Amino acid sequence: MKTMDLLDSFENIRNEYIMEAQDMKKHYGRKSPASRVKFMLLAAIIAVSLLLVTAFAAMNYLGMQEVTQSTPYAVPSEAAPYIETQSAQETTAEGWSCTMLESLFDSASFTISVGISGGDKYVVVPEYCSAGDDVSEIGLPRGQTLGDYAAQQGKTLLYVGAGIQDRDKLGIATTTLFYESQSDSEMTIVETGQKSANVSVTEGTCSVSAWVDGQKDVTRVELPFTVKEAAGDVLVYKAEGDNEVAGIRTNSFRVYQSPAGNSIVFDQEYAMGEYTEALQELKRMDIDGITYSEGGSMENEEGKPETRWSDVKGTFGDTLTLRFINWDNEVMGSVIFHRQK
Amino acid sequence: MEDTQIVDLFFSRDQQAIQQTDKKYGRLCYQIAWNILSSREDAEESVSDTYLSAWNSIPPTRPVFLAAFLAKITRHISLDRWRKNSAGKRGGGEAAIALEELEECISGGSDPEAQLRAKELRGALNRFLDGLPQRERVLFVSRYWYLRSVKQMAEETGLSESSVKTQLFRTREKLRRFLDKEGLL
Repeated sequence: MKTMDLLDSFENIRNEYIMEAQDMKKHYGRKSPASRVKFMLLAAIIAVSLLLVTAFAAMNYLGMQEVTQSTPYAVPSEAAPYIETQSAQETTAEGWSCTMLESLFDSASFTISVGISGGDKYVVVPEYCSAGDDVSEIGLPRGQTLGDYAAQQGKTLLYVGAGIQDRDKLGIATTTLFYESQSDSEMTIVETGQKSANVSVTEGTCSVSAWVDGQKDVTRVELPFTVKEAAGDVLVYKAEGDNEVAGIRTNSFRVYQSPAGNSIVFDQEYAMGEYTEALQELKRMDIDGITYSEGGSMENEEGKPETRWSDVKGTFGDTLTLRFINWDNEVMGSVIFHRQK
Repeated sequence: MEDTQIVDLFFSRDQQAIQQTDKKYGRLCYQIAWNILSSREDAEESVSDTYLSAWNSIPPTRPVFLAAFLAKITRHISLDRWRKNSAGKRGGGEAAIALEELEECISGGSDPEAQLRAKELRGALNRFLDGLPQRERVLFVSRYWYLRSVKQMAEETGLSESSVKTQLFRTREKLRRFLDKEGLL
């Protein structure tokens, strides 16, 4: 079979899947421009704050705050006291090692970090790389392939990945990964995302996988970590009057307050019982005086739309107005919510 | 205008059909063609050819999903044009990069048996996509059907580029294992 046959074969996939992927934003989060500015400011504050620099003994691994600081998923400084330092570590027969570094959980989100060291044998690269990729993938100046660089150093490429396990048990809905090289042989992987507020566990497992260039066998190491939620208050808001806009009804929303970052989960349903094109007109939702770094809509297990905002900042008064904005930045409609006592 | 009304215009051989199609789906078709060809002139020609092909196909065909129907034609025409432009060598655009990525899913070779297996692949791909979580499927289809760039996908989803690459890598690994299990490698 030729690769072109495979690419051609995609032509005949189901129409539903073609339609489904037409608008990626419908399935994934969006960032509000206002919050980007806030994050840039926050990143600047973090950059000059020596208090926030985390050093991990023996290795030069960066922590989750440093890795995420210039991203929309920055771990806020307020969360520092709630970051749990972990200790699980394992050295493999191939000569590479991995260390569970940190975990940070609250009722609606999680972040973990894990460090991987190739010692003096391996150049550590993300699992999605190949030997022909440029060395800039691991933060070195452009102009050489990873394969050539490893050969020049007398080392072998080690492809690495990591991911939190038992996603159902932890109620994990979305995840984002960051790979940050500290040197050609040391890398921190940070996984962050949203989780269900209805799940509460005390421990989790991170699976680290790696394989040596030219070999097919993948070595997997499971590193346990503790989960201690930085819990706070939950505010409940319920809709008043007509609550249907853009083909969805927004019945209520919950504000989960946490030092690790506030989040909002909206309880919604399709007005017609199923997804309609009216929803395609919706660009974003907003509430006056409230910013958020990531908004996302997805269907939950019951086939209902569910929108989540994370890193929510602002004042949560007794009455809040949720506005629905279309792609021309016009208000399609709004719903008024009252805080429940 | 509703899709059914546009299709009715095609059936009544009213040239408004092309104008209304362009108004509603011109941008979608152009984006697909651009992703593959990376050339404004070639992309515009592919979109024009798409409308001509739709004009010749409707009737007798009455597409249920007009957007998907047009998108498929655009993709097919654009990939053909890309193949001709490349003339056997790898050209630019996302098609070339996507091909390189997909190489890891297959065994290579082009014997007649493999040609037959390529036909079976069509059904297998749908079964594979059926089994993927929705978000993973959207990401995979965006890359290998719409041939969107990783950068574009990262911007649209809010994920980091490395996260998009990682998820695509993992799905390609799943596809490779699935094709192997189905005896299609």
